[in-house]
Amino acid sequence: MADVGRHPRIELMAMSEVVDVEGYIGNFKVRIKRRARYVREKECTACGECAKVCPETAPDEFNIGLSTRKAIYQPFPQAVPSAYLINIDECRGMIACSKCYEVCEKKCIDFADKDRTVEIEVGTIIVATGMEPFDATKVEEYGYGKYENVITSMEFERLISSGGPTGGHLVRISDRRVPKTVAFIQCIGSRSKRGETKSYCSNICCMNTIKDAFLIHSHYPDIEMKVFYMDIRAFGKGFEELYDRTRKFGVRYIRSMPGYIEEDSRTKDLLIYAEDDDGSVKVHRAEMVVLSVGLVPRKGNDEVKRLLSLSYTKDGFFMEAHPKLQPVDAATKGVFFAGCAESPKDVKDSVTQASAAASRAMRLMATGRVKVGAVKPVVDLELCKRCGRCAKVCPFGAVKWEKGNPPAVIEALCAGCGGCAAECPFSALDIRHFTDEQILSQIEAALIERPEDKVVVFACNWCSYGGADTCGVSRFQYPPSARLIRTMCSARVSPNFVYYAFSLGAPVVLVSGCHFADCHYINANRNTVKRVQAMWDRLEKWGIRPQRLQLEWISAAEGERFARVMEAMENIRRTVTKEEMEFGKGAVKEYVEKYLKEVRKGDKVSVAEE
Amino acid sequence: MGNSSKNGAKQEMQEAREKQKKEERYKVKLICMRCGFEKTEMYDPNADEEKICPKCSSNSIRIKKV
Repeated sequence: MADVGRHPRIELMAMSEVVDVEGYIGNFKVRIKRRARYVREKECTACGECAKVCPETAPDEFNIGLSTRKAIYQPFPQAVPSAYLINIDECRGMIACSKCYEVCEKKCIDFADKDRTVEIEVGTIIVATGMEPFDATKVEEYGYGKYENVITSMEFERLISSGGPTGGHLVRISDRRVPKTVAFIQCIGSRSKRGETKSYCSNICCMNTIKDAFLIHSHYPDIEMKVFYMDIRAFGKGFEELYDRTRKFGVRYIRSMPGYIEEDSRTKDLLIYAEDDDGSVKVHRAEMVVLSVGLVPRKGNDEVKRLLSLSYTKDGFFMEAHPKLQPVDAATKGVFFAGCAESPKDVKDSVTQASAAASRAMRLMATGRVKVGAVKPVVDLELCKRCGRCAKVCPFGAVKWEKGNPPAVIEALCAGCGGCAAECPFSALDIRHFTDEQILSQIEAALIERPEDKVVVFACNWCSYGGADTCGVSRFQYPPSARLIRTMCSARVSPNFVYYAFSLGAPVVLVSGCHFADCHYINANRNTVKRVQAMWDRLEKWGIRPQRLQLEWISAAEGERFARVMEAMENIRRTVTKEEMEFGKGAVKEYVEKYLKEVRKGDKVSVAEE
Repeated sequence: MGNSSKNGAKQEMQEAREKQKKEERYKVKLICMRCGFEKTEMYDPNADEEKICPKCSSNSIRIKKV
């Protein structure tokens, strides 16, 4: 941290908040709000004289409220920059007090300091917003917040730290004496689906407890320790060995999750009710209980997500572009992740990911140029009615539109999902290599012979098409009626393609794409859902059985699911009669003719923004 | 100046209306387009989750307002 502060090419902006991000890879414009420190950062030597005379005290956030600080303070001893700051909401002000101002020899106190906004230009962005510990009050049965001697692993960390409120002495909160027995309860807020707990494993808690047990043993060898757990996940270099060592020096690992905790009101000891190996409930007495809390995404992540057009995985952490092949890249080009912003991880993994993110960013910036793919939208200015619907559905904000003007596409930002083209009600947008004409030709080819025997399947490039591939290489059998048409994303599937397939006599059409959490275009497949819902309504209005249009999410690994879905499609196909197909052809005829007339006139031109 | 403040207020009202609309939960009938399974429940249009038929695990779930 200190090295970062001293580095000539790194500008560290403490007390700053990103308020706006514009632009795209290589050309981001970032507006940053720099909060007033009220202390001149470069002149302050952190002598601490000001804090000594400050009359206002407040809970110390760094010590999680276990100690106090003054209204003028340094957030923590190793803080960079090494300078004090004033929390102006707690300060009595220059007129009422000014004791810090008077005592400061270097005259660093500046009550006239103001928040200011700066704008910087950057080529790449690394998101390293970290995580938050789970709020243990949400697991009521363990009495956190109610019983003084029930603390969280974060509080324990501060208690045992030499720079902490007790100078590294482990004491009970209730009577300030060293506990004789300490119990740890694992998986608080993790690996559970009750209430506000999280279903994922927080990754670090097992090893953190093992480390804590090790620390206690080295400081106080006589303390008896018990760890209540579901299973110990000590994977990683040297971790299993450390686990073994704690067992050897007497830490008792009890495979049981306690039902509840009660306090002995006389001694303030804690009674832990936990099931034993034989199924009976046993009461364990401990003088201190440490709840090993899991990690949850930061509350402010929504704003970062909005500013950078990012997406979340199901657990609420930021989603990487690809879990295996691009684990540090965001779906938005030029944005990378480091640390717990992407998923819970320990220090080693965070450092590894941060190094990878830095390398990815450096590689881009050293090249100075970015190659963009050819699969981008083109606009027919004659057909475009300047409605702006294309801009509204773009998950990357790559389509810029102002009222009365045609859309402009930032090609470096566009990922080529094709959702804009499918959304355009005037067929004014097309996607290079996945044009309407090309897809219509594929539909025609698929249904050229015996269309009544075919199922038209629109499969997204990344997942469903991969699922078909996996199905094939795994030798799963599926009916030969499927005719696959590949699109980059299911969002590219325009309702016109579906109606065209029905006009050619297709009995069943399947639109398939990635599962919600896997969408390679942030959330483009949510637009697919909306379109399919609208298509079902329209088909019903036309008198066509809506069941003839199906929607399925199939991942690239789900070869077996692909086969099962195809069998289900075949079963539906068998229920579609010739009369139904003929009726369907007639019902969509007028609509399709009008669409074909539109799509086959005019020239699509690239209106990429420079 | 008058026009712009009027427009601003109009936009604010529209945003508030959209926000309210977004926050609304309403009763819907979920119909599986594959097996025909039906279920009525309160629907949150902002909930970002895949719909799956509990009977046949199809994702072809039609949402109809009731």
